[in-house]
Amino acid sequence: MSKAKVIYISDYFVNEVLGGGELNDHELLLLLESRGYEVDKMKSNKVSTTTLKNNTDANFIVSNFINLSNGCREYLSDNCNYIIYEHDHKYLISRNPALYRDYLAPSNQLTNVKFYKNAKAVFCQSTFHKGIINKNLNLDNIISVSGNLWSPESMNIMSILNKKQKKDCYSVLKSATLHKNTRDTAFYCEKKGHEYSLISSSNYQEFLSLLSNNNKFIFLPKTPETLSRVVVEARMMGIKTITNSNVGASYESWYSLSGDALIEVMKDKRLEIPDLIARQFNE
Amino acid sequence: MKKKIFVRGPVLSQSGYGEQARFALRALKSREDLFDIYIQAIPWGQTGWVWQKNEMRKWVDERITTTQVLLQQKKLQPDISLQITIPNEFQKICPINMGYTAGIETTKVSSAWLQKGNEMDKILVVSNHAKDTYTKTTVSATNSQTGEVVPYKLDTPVEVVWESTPRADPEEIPGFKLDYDFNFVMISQLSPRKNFQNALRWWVEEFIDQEVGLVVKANIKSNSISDYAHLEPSIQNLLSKYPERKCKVYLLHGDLSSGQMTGLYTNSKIKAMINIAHGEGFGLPLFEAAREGLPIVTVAFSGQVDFLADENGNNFQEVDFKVETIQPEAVWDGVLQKDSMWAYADQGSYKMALRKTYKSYEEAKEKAQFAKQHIEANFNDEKLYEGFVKAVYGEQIDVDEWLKELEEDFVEQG
Repeated sequence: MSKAKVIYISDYFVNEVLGGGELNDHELLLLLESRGYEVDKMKSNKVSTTTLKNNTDANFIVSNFINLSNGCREYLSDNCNYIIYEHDHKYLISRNPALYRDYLAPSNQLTNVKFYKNAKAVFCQSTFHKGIINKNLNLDNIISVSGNLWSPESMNIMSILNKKQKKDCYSVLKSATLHKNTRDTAFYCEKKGHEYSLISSSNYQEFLSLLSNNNKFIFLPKTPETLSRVVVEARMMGIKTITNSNVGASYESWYSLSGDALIEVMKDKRLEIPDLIARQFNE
Repeated sequence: MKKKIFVRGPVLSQSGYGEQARFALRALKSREDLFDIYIQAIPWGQTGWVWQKNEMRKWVDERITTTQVLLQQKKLQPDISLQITIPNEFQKICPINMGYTAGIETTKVSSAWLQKGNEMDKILVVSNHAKDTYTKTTVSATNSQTGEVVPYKLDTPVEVVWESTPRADPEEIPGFKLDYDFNFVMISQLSPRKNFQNALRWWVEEFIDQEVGLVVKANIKSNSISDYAHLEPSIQNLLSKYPERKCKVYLLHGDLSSGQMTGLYTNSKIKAMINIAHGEGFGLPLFEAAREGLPIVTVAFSGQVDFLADENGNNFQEVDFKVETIQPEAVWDGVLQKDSMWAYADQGSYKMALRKTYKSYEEAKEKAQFAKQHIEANFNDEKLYEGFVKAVYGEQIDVDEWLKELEEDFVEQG
């Protein structure tokens, strides 16, 4: 098996969608390249069994795979070395564990079980994320990376914004995604008489800057967040966070840290996470 | 907390579902402190559109326009959808999705209804018959992953909320004159389900030598002139077989206002309503007539039983019936299943019930008064609206309690 070639499969890459999963994948991809791996990005809908057959000696990282055909999932399961870098819950038909009591789905709601089972490892974002996957799949190949990846530039910016003077005001994430619960969160602030501002920007740096204007960030998602990058970003910028039990980051030992101390932890993740992956490839 | 509700239904159509949709809107509008209402009007078959201009219509038009603009701007984020249609058309479009259906006039729903119904968070229906049929239907399904054949049924909760129409003061119908003092009325449609021809033919046979009239308010699909042009000869053809009859049949076709309908039910010469349809979702004309104290001749099957019967028994002129498989011409794939059943009124019993109503009218009238009282006590707007709002909104939340619950789950990190 060649240890140098990695095929990175995902539904979208960062040039198409600026989501948390895509940003994390982008950093991981760069880090693997910096370690000498030859990384090929493949959009999941373009992958065929022929592609896979021609690359059986490669290591595969499968990120979001909704558009990957069943045939390819089957082929990977039976013939390839692959890890799954899980960003949500694609072993559930609904992808939403919040639909079930205690996040435990009935067995008829499970899907892709073989695909998860045969992976060399399933990487997830937090112990909270891992716990939900374990509860439903009961597999021994699930690994929590306990964090996320940011570029050195982003972390530098957050370090600077950490030191910025902040207003005594709540930031509320303005999101069209309903389970991010913008409306109830704003309603909560109104009822409690808290001053708040809705934060949104398609420009990442501007978004961080807006978030760092206020000294508190309140985020009350309705469904489990595997980690919640935005909450970790708020913590790295020295902002008090008010979240709920749906936020994966809040279960991590480093969650009590903030500012540069937390930035240091996330810098370490840039070594730890690629190490964990390399270990899987080398086994 | 106010909830944004997206209502999709035939809110402007002249149809049973149109009436149902307008009832839903009136109920929701009765609590504008709880609901921000958004409306998307859909057509309903080939039925016409309501034309009356009133305050309600003005409000509906305004909400439709607002909704359309917000949808185009992609700025509408409702909490709940309320889809007023047959279940084949239910869709997941909001965080919480509810279907409000007239359900089914038969004893079985299609597998598509079960599947679509299971995509909903709640289903509201207009009668206990609809609820029973929907919740008791079981089909066989194959698990796509295991290949196992398993029984498949509706898991979504179903609640009966009924429906109603606004009660209007009686108005005259210009040119409407009845020759005899004793007349029946039938509000129907020339369709297999309504059992139109038997209802008419058997009525004529019963009263062939009597000075009794029957007002038939009917159509085929709509209230248009061409619809009349098709319907009228069908009735003439049927009546032509009884050239010596003394009884009279009058055809009313076209739009009548609510007041004119009340005028019909309360006309001193109209003594009873007949309906031997194979099944009714709710039976709105029967409801309206019974609400005005008109005796009803019908079968104890399907939607109308809810308001025509109470704990003391049936408050109508009962017609015996058998429950048998629906006629092949009535099968409507995905809606009326070929192996489903409905009621077939017994000809002799129907004729006997008509005769009893005519001969012992005071008895019939007394029963009708019980029905009227039952409807006024249990199916008034206040009760129906309250039940509907509760079914849609759920229990009203206590804001302080909500804040407390929210804070109990807080994870704060300084």
